[in-house]
Amino acid sequence: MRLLREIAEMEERRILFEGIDTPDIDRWPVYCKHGGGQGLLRARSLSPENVIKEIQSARLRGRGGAWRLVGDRWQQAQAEGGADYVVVDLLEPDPGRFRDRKLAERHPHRLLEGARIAAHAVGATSIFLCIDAESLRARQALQQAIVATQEQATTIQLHPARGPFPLAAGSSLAVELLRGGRAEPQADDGVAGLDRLFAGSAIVHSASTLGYLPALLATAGDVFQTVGSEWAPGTQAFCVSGLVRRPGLYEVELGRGTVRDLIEGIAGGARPERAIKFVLHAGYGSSPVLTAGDLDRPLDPGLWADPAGGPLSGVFGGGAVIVADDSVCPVDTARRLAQAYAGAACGKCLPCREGTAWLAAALSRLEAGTAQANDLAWIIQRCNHLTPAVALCGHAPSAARSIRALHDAFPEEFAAHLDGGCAVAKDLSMKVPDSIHMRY
Amino acid sequence: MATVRIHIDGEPVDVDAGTNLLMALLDAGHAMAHPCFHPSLSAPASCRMCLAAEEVGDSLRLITTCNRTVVEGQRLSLSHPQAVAARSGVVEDMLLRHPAECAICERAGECEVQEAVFVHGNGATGATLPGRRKKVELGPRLILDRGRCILCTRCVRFEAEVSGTDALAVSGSGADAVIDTCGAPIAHDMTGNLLDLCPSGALSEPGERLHAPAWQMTGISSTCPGCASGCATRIDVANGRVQRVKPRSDGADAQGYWLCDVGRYGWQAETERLTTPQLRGTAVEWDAVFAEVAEHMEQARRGAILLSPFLSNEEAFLLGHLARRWEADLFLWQATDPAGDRVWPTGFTIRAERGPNRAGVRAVTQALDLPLGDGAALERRLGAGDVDALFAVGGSLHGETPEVTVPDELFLAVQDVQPSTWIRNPDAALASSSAWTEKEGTFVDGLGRLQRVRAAVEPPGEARPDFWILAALWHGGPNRDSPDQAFSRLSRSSSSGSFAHLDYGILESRQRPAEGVAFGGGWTSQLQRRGLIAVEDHAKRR
Ligand code: SF4
Ligand code: SF4
Ligand code: SF4
Ligand code: FES
Repeated sequence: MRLLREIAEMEERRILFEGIDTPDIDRWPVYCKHGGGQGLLRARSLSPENVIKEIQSARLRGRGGAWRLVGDRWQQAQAEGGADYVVVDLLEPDPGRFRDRKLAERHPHRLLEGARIAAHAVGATSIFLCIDAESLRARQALQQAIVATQEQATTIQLHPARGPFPLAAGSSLAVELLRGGRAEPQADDGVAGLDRLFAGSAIVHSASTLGYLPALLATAGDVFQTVGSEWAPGTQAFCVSGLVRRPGLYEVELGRGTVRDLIEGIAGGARPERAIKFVLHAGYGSSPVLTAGDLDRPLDPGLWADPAGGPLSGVFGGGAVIVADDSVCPVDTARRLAQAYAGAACGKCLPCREGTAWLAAALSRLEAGTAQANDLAWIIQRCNHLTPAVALCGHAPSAARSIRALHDAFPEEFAAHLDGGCAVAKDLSMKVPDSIHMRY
Repeated sequence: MATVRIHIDGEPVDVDAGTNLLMALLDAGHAMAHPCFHPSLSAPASCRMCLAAEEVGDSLRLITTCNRTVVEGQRLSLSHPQAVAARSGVVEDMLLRHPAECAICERAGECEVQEAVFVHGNGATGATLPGRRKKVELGPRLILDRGRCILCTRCVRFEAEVSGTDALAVSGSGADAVIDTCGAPIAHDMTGNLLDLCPSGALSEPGERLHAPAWQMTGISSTCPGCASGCATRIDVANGRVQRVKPRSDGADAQGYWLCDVGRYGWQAETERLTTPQLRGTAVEWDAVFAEVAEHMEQARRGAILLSPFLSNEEAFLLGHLARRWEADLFLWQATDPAGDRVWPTGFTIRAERGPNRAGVRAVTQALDLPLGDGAALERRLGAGDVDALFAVGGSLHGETPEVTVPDELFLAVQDVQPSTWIRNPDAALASSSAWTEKEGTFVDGLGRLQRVRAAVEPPGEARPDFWILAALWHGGPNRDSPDQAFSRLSRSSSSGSFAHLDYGILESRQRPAEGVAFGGGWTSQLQRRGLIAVEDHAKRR
């Protein structure tokens, strides 16, 4: 009963995933019957300029993690003569993030409708959906939706690509994959403007960003009027995973609750006899590390240092929340993260290719209690070195940031490993959640 | 062209608009290691070594310089502690898995990895990782040592952008990424360039380890005699032997930073040499040959001289004078590749015209006002029995033969590098020098550029340089005449054209020779020449 009361405190507020529980919403007739397609119809009755104005006044921000104003990006694109392609980035390689994939699997028409609205706004005639080839169900759902709605005006193509994909690699990764290249981002060459693709230009959006467009257009921006914070109107779908009772995908209003409301409220809190030890909060990999004392941070990106320059340190990120309880050793977590990052590094740039591999090896030694005396100092030194300018894309810096953050939150536990000791009694049993929030 | 002003560590520098920022730094004399950048390839900015701090308003940000162009008013700091620390950090990253085997590495002394450590390293790393240990053969002339590879992808980009074969690729991802072929071994006529552009010792050729180390070699600037393209070369010599031939990028004189494999490896194929002067198949002293040739040619009433496109201008000049003295007619044979010009995607061309100096020989005869026939004209004269003594010069580097049939009864003297198989057994055989590495003089290439050719080594045995032989014939015995003097005489006798108002001094100043430095090839040697890669330390050890 305690559980029910807490859930009532923070409620889900669905805009992006609105209607996702409707049976067969992935079928075009069902989607239409439930109001689908109205946003696109209305958008096409407006001029692109007016669509852009509407999105600008609704202050929709990109949900991939950078939180840039979508309307402003479109206006810039128009100033450059429009974009030839809309590229939908569905790669989502970040640990603990599965939002775009679920949107594609369960609500493909909403995604396609949003992409078509974006294409109308920037003047594009082709849409590419760049997706991990291993997301089989999402590919299938999208393919069916594309076949059901293919039209002359805008062509949509699915582009499955083979990973591993670097994290936080920016828009050029999807563009490079579309060119047929390796899964490698392009370096920033200081030239502003849209990504070049084939003989034209492309604007890249994350799938969740586009998923808001149908509702926004259908209501002329009304849905964002009363929902969300001032800096970031609307909702955010958080992927809560790890050692909580009810892991899942929760869409909540931005600026309403705190991290604690999300984890201990909707997600059910720690398992019996366990306490929450830390939370990896972000979509860019996992930073910062929130310890039990930091859980009262509000869920409003406008108050965080990244993206908005707010007073709260760290990165608000793209909605991945990984919860660890007191059976977890932060050094072990750091090792797992380092290995995941080393494994997903594309290998294009030297500092990341060599640096993440070394970090993974050094943290494995540290975790196993076989580290050399100065390994820990070197780990911190390497993390400090891997800044965004030194690496070619955001992958290595987010690896470094999250390892560094784990160390800074639990310096004693890291130091203790130098003497071969881990104080945490690890719980290696299979974790079964109390319930699963969404049916898939 | 418009210029823009940038500030490097507070110093204003004016550069042409559109200049690559890294090139602007290098041109201004700043040492900046750039393992992934090559001026003739695209810039992926993937090694992250060329970091500089750029002032934007009140704040600083680090940028890679190799993939940007200069911006008016840009303020850069190379010495800012943040930039220095970032570069030395990248050096540490580069060394995490790099083997410590400079002592046995082919590239030691001319290696951009060593250079990066030298200019940016802080010598303090404590972190290491076990490296890869795998040598693979990429092609008949190419070995890849994956342990030494820093994955700069210059080689991959070369195969995509210059050779156009897409023969190499990165396979695998992250720390498992390696350079590999796409199935087929690399075999085209530009593979040697991969050795020059590889910043580390990862790419080497079989047997390269047997070369003298770089710092024991002396570089001799020359011009490739492989075809009429006239690529600028540097012949590296140690212990009196040619070790290798490298491209020499002197700007306009070269085909960029590249050299084709014909020019790079051609000299190795010349194994069978004529090493003694001979009279009717018997080895004799030079004096005897000179006397015999002079006597027959002077007595001949219808003498002929067959010039070769492999002759230098100075040699052709002496032969022109001999033609006047002997009242002989001049003919020039031609060596052409039946396959035609071979042009690579970036425009690099191996010309069908294989003689490096056909244009020059023609120009010399014009300057001397002597008529010049071609091989077919000589053939007609021979067929009509209208020749009674023939002095023929061979010297082909590719085994072509002038297509003439020489009747048994006339006197035949042949000056050649190899035992002449292309003509009937000569009465007199004059063992001469190979154009690959033993010729001193000048060539005029297919584009009309006049360039110096230099002898790096002496011809073997009793064989002598062509110029020495011809000068002896002209002066009636060995003497001190030199190509230098002959060129000055040639220059004085032409009031216009390729040779007028020139001497070797002027040519040298144009060509900026390598002054004995033998380090690196292509772009690396450019950097060394600019003083941006330190060679002094090694050079002292000579
Ligand atoms: S930081 Fe470099 S190696 Fe790492 S994923 Fe990005 S581009 Fe690839
Ligand atoms: S083999 Fe040489 S050129 Fe090729 S990637 Fe490795 S270091 Fe670079
Ligand atoms: S293209 Fe001609 S001149 Fe140039 S290296 Fe090759 S053979 Fe020599
Ligand atoms: S030279 Fe600029 S990143 Fe490699």
